[in-house]
Amino acid sequence: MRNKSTRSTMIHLSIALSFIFAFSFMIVPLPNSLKWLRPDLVTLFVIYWASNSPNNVGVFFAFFVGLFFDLLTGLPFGSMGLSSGIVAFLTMNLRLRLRIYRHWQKFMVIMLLVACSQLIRLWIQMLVGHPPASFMYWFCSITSAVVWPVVFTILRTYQQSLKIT
Amino acid sequence: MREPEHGFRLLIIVLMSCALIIADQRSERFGNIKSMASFIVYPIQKIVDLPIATLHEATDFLVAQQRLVNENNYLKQEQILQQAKLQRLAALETENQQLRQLTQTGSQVTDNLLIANIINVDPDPFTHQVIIDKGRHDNVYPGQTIIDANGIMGTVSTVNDFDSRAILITDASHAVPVEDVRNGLRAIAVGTGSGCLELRHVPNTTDIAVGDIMITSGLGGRFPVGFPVGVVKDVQHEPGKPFASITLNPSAKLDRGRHILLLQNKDKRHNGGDIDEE
Repeated sequence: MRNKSTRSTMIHLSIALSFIFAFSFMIVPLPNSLKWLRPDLVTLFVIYWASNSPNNVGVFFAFFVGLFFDLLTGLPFGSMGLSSGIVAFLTMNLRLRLRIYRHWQKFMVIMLLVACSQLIRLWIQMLVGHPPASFMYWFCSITSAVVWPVVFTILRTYQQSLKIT
Repeated sequence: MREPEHGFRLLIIVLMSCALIIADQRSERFGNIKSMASFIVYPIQKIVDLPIATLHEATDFLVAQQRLVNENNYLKQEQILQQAKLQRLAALETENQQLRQLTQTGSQVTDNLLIANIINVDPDPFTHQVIIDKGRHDNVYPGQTIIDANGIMGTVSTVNDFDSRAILITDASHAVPVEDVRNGLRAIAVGTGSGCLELRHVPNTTDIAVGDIMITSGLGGRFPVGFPVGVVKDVQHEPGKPFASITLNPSAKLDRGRHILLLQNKDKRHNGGDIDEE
């Protein structure tokens, strides 16, 4: 019994470690012209873990990951929490369908999920005060969908090597 | 079968997020709790900063001696020039002081300076902000002005124990009262969110021309007087609109350099708490 619980703590820690990698990626400085293209790796990681390991990463896990990200970026506290929680919920409902989709269908679904998360954050920023005025804001959902296959392969290898179910 | 359970969890986090967002905007005490919680993200910022800072140090270490000698000579000359200018400045300052006493206006002398470094992280591409490596332990306070060698950079917005966050003058939520050096016209320079500033509510007939230097006017008491803010880049008079549209290039080099200065204005310390919003 005790062995089982340490095992599950280990699993949660290694998933959290992957998110720390995503956080670092999100704040690495880039030149101004490339900033818009940075894929939303945190949301992609939430999508991956919620679809491939729903026993470990659920709505609550995604919510706390999002809160951590809010602290890191100084966004309105709770905005990323809410959006990644909702993305986790949507992904868990879509996850069986996501497996049998073709590549272009996956592309569309991932793009829509990231755009949905961005839309929620945009609404909150509009309520609070100063939303980003540029249309480039939406570009990151496309780049996220483009890098999804890479993220998927890397996280799949990571997951299999640690035998997380 | 597990559907309703997830739905219930979703409901809980929606309610929690709403509560957090409202508390974040409204309550000052919540801000303190948040800044205490921020120390858990500090290691991540450090991890990201470390390789870049190490790279800077490594290039410093590996630089050729000849270049260092040249640079040293140049800096020495620069130092002499600056000191010559400073001598005149000291005379001017005392003269200014005397004139102010004659006209019975209070003197506006600033201040102590604190040197800080920018931590190399990009928090969010859509807000213009920087994270600096000085916090409450070095008496940084919200509302403090940060400058670089060329002009005003921005305002400290949140202070944690060991680091703090500042919004830059080009951020859409930042505004600074300015005045034209050439003729003393006053205006408000508001960030646009895209690397430059604009002057708000300036009538079409006002005499502001391309190339004018704008300095802080000190009105409102938040920014010290006389620091350069920007240079007028473009003036457009559109017929049918009541105000001219005037854009400024910031004087400070906002996207370059690691070192910044924090102005410490002792009287204002307890004044600052909220940030200038337009």
